[in-house]
Amino acid sequence: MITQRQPAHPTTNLDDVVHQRARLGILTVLGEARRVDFPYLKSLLQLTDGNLGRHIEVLAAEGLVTVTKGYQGRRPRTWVEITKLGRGALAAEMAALKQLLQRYEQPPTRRPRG
Amino acid sequence: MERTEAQALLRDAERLRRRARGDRHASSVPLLVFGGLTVLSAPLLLPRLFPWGDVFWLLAGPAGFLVTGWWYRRQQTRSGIGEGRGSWTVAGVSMLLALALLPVVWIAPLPIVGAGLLVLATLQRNRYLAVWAAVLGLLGGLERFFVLSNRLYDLADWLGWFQQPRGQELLVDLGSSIVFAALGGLLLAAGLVALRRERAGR
Repeated sequence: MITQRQPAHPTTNLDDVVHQRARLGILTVLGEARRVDFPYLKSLLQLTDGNLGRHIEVLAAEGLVTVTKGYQGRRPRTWVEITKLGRGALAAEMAALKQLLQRYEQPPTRRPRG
Repeated sequence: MERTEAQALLRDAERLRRRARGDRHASSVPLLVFGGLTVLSAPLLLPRLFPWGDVFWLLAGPAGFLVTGWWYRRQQTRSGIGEGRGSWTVAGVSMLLALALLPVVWIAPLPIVGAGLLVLATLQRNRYLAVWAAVLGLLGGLERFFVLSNRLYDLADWLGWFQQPRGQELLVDLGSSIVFAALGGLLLAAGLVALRRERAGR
């Protein structure tokens, strides 16, 4: 019996680390600006310090972003930068989401009988 | 995963991307810098007043990239948002090196400026800036060989302006200046439109 191989469902391409709303937001902003500081991300994404810190930790543990701590004068400043891996993960996530929407928008195909 | 959830995620991501692009003034700053430089170059192209006006772009090209890079670094320190992919400073230094090592570039520096802007716009996926970079490089390169001002002379001839006393002399002097003033004006207008959009997106 010949079986037709179905293409993988787009949801299989969604990465749990990137797919989470806040983390996708962080990567999207970093994809545009490459490097941003902690307060900018906090105000743009409207997250608390602890919440944002935890999401950044998750992304950094996967190698998707790097975190640099430094000083500007006496003021401590934390910079978050996207890595090459992070850019790739963001692009893959966006492609998977678009593919998923396309799949919803396609009319259902009839299965051949017999 | 539900369709509405995927749509909401994509919409949210696009909103954040636009907001970040607006906050870092991705299109307006380079367009205003290079538009201003193009307008400034117009009077310098009057050969009777400035016999060395041709060298303007050899200095202004790299300076434009370096000034834009400086503005973005200042913005990064103030607002906490980076300059995006690519480096304006590296582009400026590369152009300086190209001018120093490849004197053939001196013949038409504006296509090199346009190409540098186009590379940065492509890296940043900024279609608006890419279009204007191509316009600057192409029209600036053509005018280096008086292609556009010659069309102006044709028009003036057709209108009979050359038959007036001193008309020909005046127009021949002003041709390139008129073209560069118009091109600079266009870039400045495009920069102001971008600035308005960037502010509206906040």
